[in-house]
Amino acid sequence: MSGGYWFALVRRLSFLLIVTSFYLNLKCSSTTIADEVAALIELKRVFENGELELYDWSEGSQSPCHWRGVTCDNTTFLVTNLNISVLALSGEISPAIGNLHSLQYLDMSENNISGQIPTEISNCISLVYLNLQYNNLTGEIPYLMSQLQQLEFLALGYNHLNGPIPSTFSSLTNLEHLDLQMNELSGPIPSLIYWSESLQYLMLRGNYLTGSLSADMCQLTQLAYFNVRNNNLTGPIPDGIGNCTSFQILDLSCNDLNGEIPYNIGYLQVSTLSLEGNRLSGRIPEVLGLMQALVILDLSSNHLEGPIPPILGNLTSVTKLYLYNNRLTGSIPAELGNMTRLNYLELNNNQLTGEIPSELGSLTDLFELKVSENELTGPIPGNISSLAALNLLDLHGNRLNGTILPDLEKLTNLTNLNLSSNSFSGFIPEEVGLILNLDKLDLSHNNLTGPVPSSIGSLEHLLYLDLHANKLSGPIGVQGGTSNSTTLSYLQCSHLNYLDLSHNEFFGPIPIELGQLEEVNFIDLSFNNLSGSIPRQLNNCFNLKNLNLSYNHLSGEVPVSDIFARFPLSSYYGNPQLCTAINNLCKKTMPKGASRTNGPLGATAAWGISISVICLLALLLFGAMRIMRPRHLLKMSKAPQGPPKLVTFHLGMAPQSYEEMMRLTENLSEKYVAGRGGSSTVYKCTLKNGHSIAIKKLFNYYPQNIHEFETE
Amino acid sequence: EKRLLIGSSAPECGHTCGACSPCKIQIVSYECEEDFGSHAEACPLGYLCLCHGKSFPIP
Repeated sequence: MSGGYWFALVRRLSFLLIVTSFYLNLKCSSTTIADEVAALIELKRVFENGELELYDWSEGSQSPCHWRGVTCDNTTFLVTNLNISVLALSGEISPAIGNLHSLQYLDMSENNISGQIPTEISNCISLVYLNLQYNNLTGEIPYLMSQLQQLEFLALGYNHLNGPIPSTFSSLTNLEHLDLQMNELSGPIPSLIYWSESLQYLMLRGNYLTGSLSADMCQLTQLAYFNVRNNNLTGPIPDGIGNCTSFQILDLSCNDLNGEIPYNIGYLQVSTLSLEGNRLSGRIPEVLGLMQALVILDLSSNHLEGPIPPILGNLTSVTKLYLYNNRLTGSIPAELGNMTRLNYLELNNNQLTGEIPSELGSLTDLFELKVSENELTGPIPGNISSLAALNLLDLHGNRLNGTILPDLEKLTNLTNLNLSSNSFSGFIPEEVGLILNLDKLDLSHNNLTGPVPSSIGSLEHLLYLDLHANKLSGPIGVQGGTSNSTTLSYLQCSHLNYLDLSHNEFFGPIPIELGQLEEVNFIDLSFNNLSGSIPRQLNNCFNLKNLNLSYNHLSGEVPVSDIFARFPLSSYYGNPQLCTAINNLCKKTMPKGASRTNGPLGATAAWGISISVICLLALLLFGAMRIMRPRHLLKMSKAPQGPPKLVTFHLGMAPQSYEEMMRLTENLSEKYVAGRGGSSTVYKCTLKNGHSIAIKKLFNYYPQNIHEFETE
Repeated sequence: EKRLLIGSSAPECGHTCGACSPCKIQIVSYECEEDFGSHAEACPLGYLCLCHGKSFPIP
């Protein structure tokens, strides 16, 4: 305590010294309006397109008070506010900025300003608000900025500033908001800045800061927001962290912190606790279960082990519980069913065992349930169908068995269903076709039998259908038995862009209806018992980039024109009846390759050995592909590419195609972001005819979000 | 000092909004941008007291 007192005393003394020098400074530089006109003209001159953007800043002027972005004091007529943000200014900030001694508010954010922050800015001693974020500023932060004793708000984020955080900032006794995120700052966080009684918001995310966290951070008695995400911080979470009782948001994620989560963390009053992406080890402390103010608890991607403490079920305000990518063992506690506000429950990539508790059926607000890549056994609990808000259900990579429940149809908001790599058996229920918002269905690598239900054809938003590596049979597409007026098949899912039916027991011809899938870019029908010829109608699939028909019983010619020119001969291997028609000569039959089937393999032993070597290689390759697969899928799910989640505004004009929108916005690049809301991102897209439309990407498809959309 | 107790509870607004009523607790999302490769829904959430569209910090 006495150390703290001495420190405070020393700091007050240094403050006095600075105040004295500031009065001296003021004395010898009384500013006139003419001086300010000159300073602003000089500022404009150094901006590259100042003439264009600041056209009314003219030298002959008596007063700058009516110039663009300039506001003056009512009595002194000196410049107090300068707001020249978002004006596409480039060039540099002139040192003349330092002559605007009465400036209280300076906003130059979201321009293209480069060069360094001029040291002279520290002469703007009246500054209360300084915002230079979203520019291309380089060099170090001038340590003399600590002279800006009135400063309350300082935002330098999203630049290329390097060097250290000046420890002199600790003398800014009025600073409430310090945002240095997304720069290239290095070195440790100076402990001195932790000794502020005014700081409420500290944002240091996305720099190269090193060193460890100091328990001194809890000297920030007014701080509500502490974010050091994405730096290179090392060492443990300080044991004294429990003293940071003013913190509401604590984000230490994506660093290199190690050690255990200290018991004292239980004293925090935080609503968001983000510790993900570090190397934290040991068990999840039970004390977390007493932190009932928590709304987000993210411990994902660490080295945590042991069980999930059942006491976490007490956290009834938590909306997001992320424990994925750890080494957690034991079963999923039934108590998690008490967390009735949960929207996101992600326990994937651990070593969890036992069954999925039926209590999870109480989580009626759940949007996403991910328990994939664990060692879970048993069936899908029957009441999972009461999760009416569920958007994503990912159970892949477990040892789940039993049949796929017909009840899943009640999950009317489900867009993504992944049950792959389990031991599910029986038929795919017809009711799957009633999950109307489904855009991704992955049932691959199970023991499913029977035909593909024709009801899948009514899934008009379906983009991705993967049923490979099962024991499915029957013809592909239109079912023979059904005699309804219009026979549905999944070949009527007109938006389908990925279709994998390989490694099953499908027979019959390749239906010509495949040609209706205008958006499809991947078709794999390999390793089935398909026969007949390759339908030329595939030429209508303009986007088709990958076609694999190998290892079937297809016959006739391999088409080479149009779309078919894109595919290598390996797309057709293992179809002994198929011949190539290059140069209009259908002579060569397709090479057998490494046949999986029981065809004649040759007589000699040497031939047999070479075949088995090739088989072994193929097996290895297949194994490697299986390992690669989940990651690939993960990426896919991060960047869903599909029309159903895009909403366009200002629809006065002809409807635009999804592809065109994606092209015009460079696949919804950050450049085109017009705004962000809680549930969506809005992009601005300028059409060929010069009109602008806004595109809204909903993060999840849920009635609540639709409502928000309507109100905006 | 009430802070000697371990654990926390969801805050209550009480008379935080002054004369304005009803004063209700509200969970709000802080502005955030998705980092490359990070979780899409990782934006931090906090509490505010809300009264007729006006927000007040929690006590």
